[in-house]
Amino acid sequence: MESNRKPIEEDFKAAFEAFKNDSFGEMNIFSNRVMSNAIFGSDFRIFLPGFFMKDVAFTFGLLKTKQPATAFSTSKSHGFSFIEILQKLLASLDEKQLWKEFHNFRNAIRKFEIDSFEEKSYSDNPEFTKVAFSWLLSYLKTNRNVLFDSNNLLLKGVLNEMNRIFKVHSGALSDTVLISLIEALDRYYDYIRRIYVKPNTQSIDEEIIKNNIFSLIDQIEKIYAEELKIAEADSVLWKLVKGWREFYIQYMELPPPRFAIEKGIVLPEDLKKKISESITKTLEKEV
Amino acid sequence: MTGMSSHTLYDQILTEARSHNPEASPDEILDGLVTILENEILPEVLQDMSLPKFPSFSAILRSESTGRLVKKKFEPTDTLRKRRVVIQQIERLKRQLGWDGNNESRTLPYCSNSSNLAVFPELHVSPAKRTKPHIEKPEMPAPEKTDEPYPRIAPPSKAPYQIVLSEAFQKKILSDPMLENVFKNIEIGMRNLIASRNLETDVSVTSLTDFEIPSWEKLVINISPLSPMDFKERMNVWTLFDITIRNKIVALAKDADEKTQESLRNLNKRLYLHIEL
Repeated sequence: MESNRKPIEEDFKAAFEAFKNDSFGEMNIFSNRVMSNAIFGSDFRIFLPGFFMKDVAFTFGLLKTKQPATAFSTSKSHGFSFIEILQKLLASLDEKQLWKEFHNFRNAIRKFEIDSFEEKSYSDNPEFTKVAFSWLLSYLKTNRNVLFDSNNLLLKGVLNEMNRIFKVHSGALSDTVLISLIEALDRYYDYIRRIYVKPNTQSIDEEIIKNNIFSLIDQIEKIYAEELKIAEADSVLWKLVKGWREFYIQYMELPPPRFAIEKGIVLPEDLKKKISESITKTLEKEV
Repeated sequence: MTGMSSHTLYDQILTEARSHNPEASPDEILDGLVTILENEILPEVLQDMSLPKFPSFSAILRSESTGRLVKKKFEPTDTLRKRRVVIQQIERLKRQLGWDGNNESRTLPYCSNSSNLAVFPELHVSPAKRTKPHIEKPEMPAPEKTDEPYPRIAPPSKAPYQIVLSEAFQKKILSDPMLENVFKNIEIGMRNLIASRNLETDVSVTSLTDFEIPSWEKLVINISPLSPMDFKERMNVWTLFDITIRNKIVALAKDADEKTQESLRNLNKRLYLHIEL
């Protein structure tokens, strides 16, 4: 038995406990630990349950705070069932089965993520999802030079579209794999865009992007275009996850992405404080 | 914003904005002020603002005259309703702003990278200002913001009530898509009811069967109010839940096919609502 096996099983157990308690912040952290601890062993496939658990943490964290109210407790049944299956698969690490179960979970949970208007209006249309995802991937490739700009949100934008489409129209296993790959690429790129900025510019070192990101986009495009080979997809996904966890060792936590370009006016701090106090007073009168 | 319309403060803001930003055009000053308000001042005000507790269900009942009909007791007075609306609006805004003043990322999958529960510095690199990665140590121990999977979304607060499904019932839901869909709607109905009436009550759902008579099956929804209530109030709460749940089932049956209608009728018969008395 590999030395990292037991610690990972314990990370997993902690994540499951956090899930039961609706502590999705902690669950996310324990899931990250699964992926970090996977680096210390030789069988990289063990990162997969951690990668999926992170998704579960994020999904239920959002469902819990969603307004108007959702059937959060009903949806948790799917979470329980999926985590229990993951736990059983920890021993064999059957990649195909792991992905199949993750895809089933995503497909079931999306019905809780949509609102009542969407529920009444949209139908499953995996053919459309395939066409749209292929278009988005091709768009990403054509416009990949945008990734030189440290302020761009191209990967997040592509992900946003993919998640939206999958949520209302469903998709195939290959679509779930593609979303996961782009998500991992985005996490990895988030470090690169902050670390490799050229002096006094907003541009990122082009060679770094070309050598690191462009080749990965090519690989992802190939995986999606051909018949799905899970082992191949896992290998690229692991490359991204490992790189991302190593960046975490080097630079630790990143601030949340900033969307507004920093430009504005200067206002003295004491004046800001005065404005704050004035607004607070007014609001307090109302309640 | 009444406070902002104070003539003196208004003048001071404009004067200082102009003097500190001599090269900015009036439009740039206006945009800049809006940005500062949105990104710095309002989030801080909302984050620090402690809101009074919602007028509770019991308080509403007590506040009204005792001579009214039971049905009318559930209608909050105008003043209470107004207060509730203002509090709700502020709470909603707080949630939308994610406490840190940015609301754009609600649909973006941003999760913390952390694998550490302890506080640690964040990497701050602003391309326009710095050229090298720079690790800033917070002077004061920061709140464990980085431990949240989505720091830009409101930290999941402990809900004042819980709806818990028993393991057996969860398994039933997973094996029966029709039941799942029905219960999904029932749960949304119950949550809306609890939120709109501020009922402060836990709900547990169990599925009971008899080993000797497998066809005998009962779905029990147990309501446990968290705040003290007398018998009458409890019965009123029970009635509200009963009406909400049964109405949901009836509404679902309206557009359903015959087979589903039959299942829904059976479910309605098998469904029991209990309240702790």
